[in-house]
Amino acid sequence: MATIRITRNWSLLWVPALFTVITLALAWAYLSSVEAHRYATPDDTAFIRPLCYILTALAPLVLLTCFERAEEGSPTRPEVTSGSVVVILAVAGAPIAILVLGFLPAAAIGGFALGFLLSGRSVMPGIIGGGISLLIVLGLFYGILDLDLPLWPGL
Amino acid sequence: MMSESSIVVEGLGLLWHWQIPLLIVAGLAFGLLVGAVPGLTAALGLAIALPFTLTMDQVPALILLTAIYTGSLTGGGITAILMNAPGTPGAVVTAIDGYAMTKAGRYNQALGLQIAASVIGGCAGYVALFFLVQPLSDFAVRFGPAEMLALTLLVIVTVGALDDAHFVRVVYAGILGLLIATIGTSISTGIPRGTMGVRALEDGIPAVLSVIGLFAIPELIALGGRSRIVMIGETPKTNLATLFSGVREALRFRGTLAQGSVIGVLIGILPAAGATMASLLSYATARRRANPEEAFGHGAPRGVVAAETANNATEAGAMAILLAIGIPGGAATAVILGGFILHGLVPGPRLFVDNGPEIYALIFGNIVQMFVVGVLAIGFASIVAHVVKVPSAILVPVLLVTIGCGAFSLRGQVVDIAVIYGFGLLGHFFRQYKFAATSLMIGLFLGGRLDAEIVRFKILYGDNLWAAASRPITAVLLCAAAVILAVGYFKGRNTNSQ
Repeated sequence: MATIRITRNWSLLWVPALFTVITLALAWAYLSSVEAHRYATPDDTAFIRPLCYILTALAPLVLLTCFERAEEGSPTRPEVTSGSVVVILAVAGAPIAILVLGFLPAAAIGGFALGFLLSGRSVMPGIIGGGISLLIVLGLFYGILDLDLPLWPGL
Repeated sequence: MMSESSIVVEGLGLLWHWQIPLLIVAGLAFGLLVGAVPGLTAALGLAIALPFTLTMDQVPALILLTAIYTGSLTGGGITAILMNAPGTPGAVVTAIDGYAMTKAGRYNQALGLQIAASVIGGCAGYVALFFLVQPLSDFAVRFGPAEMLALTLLVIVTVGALDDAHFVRVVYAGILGLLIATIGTSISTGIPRGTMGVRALEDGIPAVLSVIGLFAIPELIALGGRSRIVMIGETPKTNLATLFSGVREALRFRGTLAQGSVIGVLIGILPAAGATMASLLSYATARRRANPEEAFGHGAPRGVVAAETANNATEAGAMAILLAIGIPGGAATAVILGGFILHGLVPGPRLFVDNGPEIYALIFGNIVQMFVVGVLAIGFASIVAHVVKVPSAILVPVLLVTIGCGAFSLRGQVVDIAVIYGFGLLGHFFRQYKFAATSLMIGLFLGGRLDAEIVRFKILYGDNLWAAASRPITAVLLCAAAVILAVGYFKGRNTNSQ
């Protein structure tokens, strides 16, 4: 499997830094939304407020570690392979695919596509991957476990 | 009020069901498979099995889940010995002397040692748990809101201290987990918080699904980068006579077995410390006390015994703290905790009072499992090599679909699929950039309960923090957290500067 190396150290800086900033912004947005309908007693922000304060206090220290790590070089450099990227995209797209296509087509098409791409574009693993995925949805969960899965779109 | 002995007898009676032996064998076989295959973890195996327990009664469901956990701990050592490919992190230490024995052609003896040590370590751990149940529950009853808050802080900073190079990130992740866990309808006011208008989130973000996503999906992403699970050549063949000689040899190391069991149980109690630390500590202690002729690191049988005994004894330690206080020690115990909650058992001080027979049934069931896993592992060792040859191109899509269907099956909501896959991506990010997923997981599990405890705390003490902090247990826990926080932070800074 081909390996795409992220060779620039700044990826170690900006990705976790961005994560820290986004989570902090979301935490404060969350706190202010709770504040909007705050009752005097009991206080809904009693737990959320200190957590936001602690996150805010920790954020500069986390950002500091981002700079330290960015200087470290290769030992902590994340390694991304094309196979991993394919799985990441599949994971990210799966909920939308299930919502739009339903469980059955999403499992069959997704299983085939993943098997096909992960095997280096070989059709047989794709067919096996898609086929077994289909069997799991239809046979195991819908059939044996009697789960009310939305098999088709709109169901 | 039932007497202690009648609760124990009632617990034994709950095991008298035709399903139990079948579930033990099925769970152990699946666990051995999951544990033996590098890249598949106990948490992933448990996540796959969890939806199948929904239609079961409490005890059979929990027996199945714990059987998978037990099997995975034992299975990890098999591939560690035969292929130098530890199936679980706890089996890494087993590979040191185990694989050295394989290279010297003594793999059957090594397997015998490993299986015997696993069985003895696991059994010793559960026997200890049997005697610890009552004192633990008596102690846990003293925990009020202030103690729970202090304990949670202690757990989060302990997790951070165990990962000293990334201390601040670990604590940040833990606090974030606590915050995410408060999303949903407020217990105190009944108003939805942080749901962004999504009605399905009014019940909160299910912790068990988040944890499965956090730990299982990143394994699959990593697996996608490899064409096969393990690249192996010729597989050694098993010989039962030599294997049993290894079993007998393991029984000669009584001191090492006892020491490994004690270390395993004690380390297992610590959240996030887990099997790797226990087996490493047990191995290091055995090595320090061994004769120089034993050649530790070059195929010493005592080394395999020391590592494996502690590895399997951690299970009981982890279960002890899970049952008594409801804190999962790792991803696998977090999914088991999810199983408890799904089946109406809420771990914590009241668990032993309300569900004593079920807990004793679980303990006895696990002691039985330890003997069955020994027998299964002997037959299983020869077929493991064939399983690890399955191409990732087939395994990854099949497991992704299974996890997605499993997520939907728990509450029947499509939003849960987004939750599990979303947390999966977050878990991958955490793994890549050294934010501890374990810390986030503990926050996710404890946040909701702490939120409720804070309301009780405010009602009891108002804004008088000193009244809470001066309670003896709270004071000790807070002091311990402060010390670990200071030591961990400065140790982390030193590690980074080096």
